[in-house]
Amino acid sequence: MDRRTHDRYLERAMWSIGRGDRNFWIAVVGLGTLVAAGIYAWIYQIQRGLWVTGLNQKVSWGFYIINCVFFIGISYGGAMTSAILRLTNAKWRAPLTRLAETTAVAALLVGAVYPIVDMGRPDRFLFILLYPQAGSPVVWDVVAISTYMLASLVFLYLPLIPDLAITRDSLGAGWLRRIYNVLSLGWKGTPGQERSLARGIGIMAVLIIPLAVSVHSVLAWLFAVTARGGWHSTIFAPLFVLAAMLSGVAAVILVVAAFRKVYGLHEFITAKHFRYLSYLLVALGIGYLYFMVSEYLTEGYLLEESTTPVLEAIFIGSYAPAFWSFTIIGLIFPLCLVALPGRFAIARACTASGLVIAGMWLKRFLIVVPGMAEPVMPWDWGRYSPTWVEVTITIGSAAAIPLILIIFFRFFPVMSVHEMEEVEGAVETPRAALRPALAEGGNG
Amino acid sequence: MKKLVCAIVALGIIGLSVVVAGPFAAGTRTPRVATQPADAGHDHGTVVGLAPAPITDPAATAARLVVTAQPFEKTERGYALQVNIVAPDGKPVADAQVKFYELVDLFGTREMLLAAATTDGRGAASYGYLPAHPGSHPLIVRFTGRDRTLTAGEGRLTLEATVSAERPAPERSGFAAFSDKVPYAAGALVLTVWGLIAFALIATARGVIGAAPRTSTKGETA
Repeated sequence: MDRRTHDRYLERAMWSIGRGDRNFWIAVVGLGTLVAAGIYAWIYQIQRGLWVTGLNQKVSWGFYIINCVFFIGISYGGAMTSAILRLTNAKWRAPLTRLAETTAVAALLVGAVYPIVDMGRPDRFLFILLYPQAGSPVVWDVVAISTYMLASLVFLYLPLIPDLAITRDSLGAGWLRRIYNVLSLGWKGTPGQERSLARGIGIMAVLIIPLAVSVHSVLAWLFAVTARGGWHSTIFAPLFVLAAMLSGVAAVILVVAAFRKVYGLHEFITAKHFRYLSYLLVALGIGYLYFMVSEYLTEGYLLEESTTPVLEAIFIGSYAPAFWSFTIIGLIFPLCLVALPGRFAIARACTASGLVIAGMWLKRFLIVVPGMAEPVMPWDWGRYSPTWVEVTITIGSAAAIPLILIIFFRFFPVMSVHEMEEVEGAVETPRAALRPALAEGGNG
Repeated sequence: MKKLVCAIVALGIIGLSVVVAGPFAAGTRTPRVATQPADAGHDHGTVVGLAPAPITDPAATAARLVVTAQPFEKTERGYALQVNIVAPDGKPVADAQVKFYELVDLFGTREMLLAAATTDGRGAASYGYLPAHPGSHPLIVRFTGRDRTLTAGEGRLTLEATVSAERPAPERSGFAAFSDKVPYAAGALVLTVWGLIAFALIATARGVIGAAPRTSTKGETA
């Protein structure tokens, strides 16, 4: 990368910092309104109780648990994408890792709230901390999610240190510069600092993978250790992990595509990046398909008493439209779409990712609701129809992720500058030389 | 003649009416009330039936219940709760159904049925009671009454138990000894992970700060 390209990269990476143009505020107000509507619905639910939702005595897990699994899955995919690309030293990763890591944190923050929403009484969350039962999968979840959240934040922060220093250097004297100076830990890019940072990032990149696996395994065990038809499966943990990676990579593709378009990153995030991410999507999708077939084949062949009604409901019963929509439109078709060679790689990757995300949400629905609705006593099947409260909270939380991202990137570079320098072997770039480029970049 | 026939028919109708409607006539109607006293509402099986004629003086027909508790010779068997029912005339009441209750605290004070028994010829009924725990046990024995001669009664006793049943120990599989340690192992693993995260953060921060060139107060390199 020549000096000019480097400067352009720097300019685009820093483009959004401090920039509050009309489009930014329209996006903030629009997304903020949706988030506010979600918060209002939650307050409404707290005031009146869980009866305002579609949850009932038979189907006591619905949208909230589905969303918890779904959003944490997206987070997992973002973290894994970044960690794997770092560990394999993939050179094309530089413009993507920051977006992937931030998506991971944003989705995790949203997903982690859902168990509290599902409780109905948020104050009771304190009981889990005060009176934890080591044998309860809910406690495992709290420990795993909080640990993963801590790790994700550190994993986001460490690679950000040099970029914080670049941002600091681009600012004039003032309180904001002092904050960036503190956050960047006085980074100057000396060899000693580089070594310390590389070690820290290396530890976190190695650690984040088993942590992310553990989080989604624990979420899966929440179902698998319950003696219910369709849940009590040994393959659930790897199935959940793979599902999380699949939906996470799809989410990263969509986020990268959106920021590429809005922030004008076309020069640095090219069709090549989408092609590589698509390969990852296809590999994960095929893996997921294999796991899913394996699960249904073993369960369907034995047809145990508790599993049979659930399988019937999913394959040929009332949940069949959702299941076949997921399998064909949400899994097989998107994989074919990105696997086949041809033009419009970015458009195809985005379409496939959108379908995969919708399909994976539907799949979580098919795991949670039929398993709950199936009667464990000789009685009717449970029914579940979400109310406006659940739908509004879901929409609000989905809007919270892009809102967090655009606000975050108003203060921090959207692409990792230091990482780009690292992969290009230009780590020793003097900061003073970057200032003119930043000044031209227009830090709003 | 006609008048005689009419008079006979009229008398016949009146007589028949009296025979058929007799039990329901205002003056002779027997009220349908619970045979059990009001405090027997604790018993879920409240029986409703034809009650005896109104009792003018309940005290005159009230049975007296004397409840005693004696430890068994084999102390581990607990206590023999005995109730003696005596009629107002001082005679023992045989073949009387009695129920033994204990007052327990379960979302409020409630009566827990311990046993039901029938008195013998001496008016005595007993029940071998092994309390769940040592300490104070308020007990109630109830007699629900019998036809017109005896009204319901109850006797109370607070048993200060020193003997109690052993706490039931859950059957433990061989796997339990192993699984007991799993939370500790998991806890150690979680602490290790937290330690590694803290190390990554703190060691990096220390390394970056330590390797930074000395700067002036304005943040510029000296």
